[in-house]
Amino acid sequence: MPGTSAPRVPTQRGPRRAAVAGGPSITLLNRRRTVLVVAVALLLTVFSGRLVWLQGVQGQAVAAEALQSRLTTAQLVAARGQITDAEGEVLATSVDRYDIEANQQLIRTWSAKVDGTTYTGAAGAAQLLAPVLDANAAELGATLDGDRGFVYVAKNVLPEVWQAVAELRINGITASQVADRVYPNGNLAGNLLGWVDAEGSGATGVEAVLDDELAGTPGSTTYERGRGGQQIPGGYQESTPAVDGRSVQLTINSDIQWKAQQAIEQQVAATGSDSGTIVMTSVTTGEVLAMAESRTVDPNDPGADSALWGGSSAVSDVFEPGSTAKIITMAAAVETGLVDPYSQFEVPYQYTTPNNQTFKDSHEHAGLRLTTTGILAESSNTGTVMIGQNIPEQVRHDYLAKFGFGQKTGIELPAEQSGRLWDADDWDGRTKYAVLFGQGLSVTALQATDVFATIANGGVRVTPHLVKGWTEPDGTYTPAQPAETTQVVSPETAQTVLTMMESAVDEGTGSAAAIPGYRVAGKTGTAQAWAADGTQGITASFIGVAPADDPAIAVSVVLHNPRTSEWGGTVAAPVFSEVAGYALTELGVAPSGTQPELFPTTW
Amino acid sequence: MSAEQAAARAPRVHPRPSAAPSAAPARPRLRLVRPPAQARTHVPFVVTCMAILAAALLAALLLNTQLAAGAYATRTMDLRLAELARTEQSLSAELDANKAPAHLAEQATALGMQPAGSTAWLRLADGTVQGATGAGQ
Repeated sequence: MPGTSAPRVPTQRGPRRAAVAGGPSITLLNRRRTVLVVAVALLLTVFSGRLVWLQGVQGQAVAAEALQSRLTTAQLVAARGQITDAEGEVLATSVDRYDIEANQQLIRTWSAKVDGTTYTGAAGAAQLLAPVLDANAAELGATLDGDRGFVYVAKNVLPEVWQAVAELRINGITASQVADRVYPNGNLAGNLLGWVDAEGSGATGVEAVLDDELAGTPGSTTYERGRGGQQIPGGYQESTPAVDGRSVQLTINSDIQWKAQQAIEQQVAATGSDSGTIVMTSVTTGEVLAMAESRTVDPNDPGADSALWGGSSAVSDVFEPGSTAKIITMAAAVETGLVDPYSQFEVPYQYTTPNNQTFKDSHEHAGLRLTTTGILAESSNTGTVMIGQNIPEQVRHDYLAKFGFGQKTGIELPAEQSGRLWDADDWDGRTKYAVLFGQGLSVTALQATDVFATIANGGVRVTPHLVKGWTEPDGTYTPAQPAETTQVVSPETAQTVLTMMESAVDEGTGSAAAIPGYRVAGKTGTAQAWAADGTQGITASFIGVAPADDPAIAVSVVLHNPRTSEWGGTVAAPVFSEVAGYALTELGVAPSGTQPELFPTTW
Repeated sequence: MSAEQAAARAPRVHPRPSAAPSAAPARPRLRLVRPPAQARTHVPFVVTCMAILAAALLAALLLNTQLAAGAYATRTMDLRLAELARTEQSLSAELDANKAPAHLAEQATALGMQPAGSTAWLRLADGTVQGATGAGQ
């Protein structure tokens, strides 16, 4: 219907409508925008303030904290060098072991579900660890319970045990790698090798003396670690590499060492001796091939018997050498031109010196017509005094000193004794003669052996030593510095005395020392000794050289207080024959193949 | 009016500089103007930029992924290496123990072997046997 009801003018309506529907007025819009801008500006201000605060003020601290939480430091263990014998057989080596450690604070808050069972805290961890570590769960729980940041749970466990422990993923259980020292040959050369202490540094023996070389320098590495324990690539890393120790090669031949140990152990038992030593050196090089004793510590377990802690008695025990020292008297007499091997003497059983000192021979006998050679071969004290009394006292002393008595050899072993050699001025009326046949002075077994090696080496004394060479961590081998040499007596004198010594084995007191196929030169010795408790005992010895025609080795066999016989020719010489014979075969020394041309012993 | 005046004045030529051209009638002077430059499209440029950016990002991502993968691989290999080293260690320890003279002697005795005597030497010079007693029989 044509609208009459509400006649409204459309032209009026439009604009008014528009004004109403156009929303807020301009001023209202402006205000709203201002509020928004201010709000956004405020928000941005807060944000940027926070940004500046975090990035500028706190930035470094926060970043460092985050880095710390990712950083981990691992010790890099420096491998201790090996000790090998002359053939390269391992005498001492290091193996990896682990010390398992616990952080009690972390363990307290730890819990995990294993096979449906929930384990929590120290008790739970102990339950899981006990079967792996082969330990008592209750004791373990006590160890793990507390609020200390660091306790040892187990020490020196095998790598596979640590692997098993690590797989339990107990938060707060960690391990550090340590090295354990292993001596694969048991007690072979144990007194020489020594052992290492709990920290892994040498405690005694070669391990201690060469510790600086063997030890190396441990390193450490600090890096950013991801969740899986992997290194975050491109992250912070700082490493000080570990420098491994050098490996040392000894002059010892382990087969000969074993034979020597066996032989001396058996002989000490068979003769009822208190103790005994065998020393074998290479004549030309001064290398110690074997140094064996009747009682040897096992470096794998030094704690088993503290009585064996003394190291090598071949360098630390001193005794009166007795007749073996007559070699020096003879060398001095021949060198100074007093006698030659053929000089003739009427040797009585008893001899009294001008200063009323009476000396006797070991066996009663009628007057003997002996040459110088015979006196040595028969080991006559009276004959030796008759020869030696014409050597001035100071010269006697100087020869003893030149052969190394009274001073350390400098061998690479701790606790070496120098022995005792009084000054000539301090010798009393009896001692000045007694030194001629090896009494009134004391030596070590090594010093005594060295005298014979010197005679066998053309009168040249080579310092005895144990180190043959060094192997660097990179595998390069450096031979040890050649040992010092000194000409003690002339080659002619040495040859003469060596031939005289052959008579001692061929037709004298040392016949039991003979080795089939090889010519042997040597000398028996029996000397009175005073034990630590003041009782008098006997030191019986045989020291010899083989082969006499081209000397390779010098060997000493010394027995302290043998009960079956006191004579070196009886108790010690057979052992020499056995051990030296074995060594000659082992070293591939050809048999002599020549007959000795000996000096006459009688006239 | 001004046009009329101008037209009336026109025959009179005043020698004065005038903006109006002398020859030309009062017609605006036409100049050749360059057409407005075509608005060239920016799409290829933007796409190229984005492509370079994307490639760079992708390369960085790939590189990082590679590095991370490498780190994991390194760790795995380190573990394997350690394991092998341990195996080698325990085997050589076993070997050393078995090589020990005392152990060898024990084993040989258990097998009923005897210690050998001295070695016999055959000397080529004269064909003699040296050394061991009763050797060569």
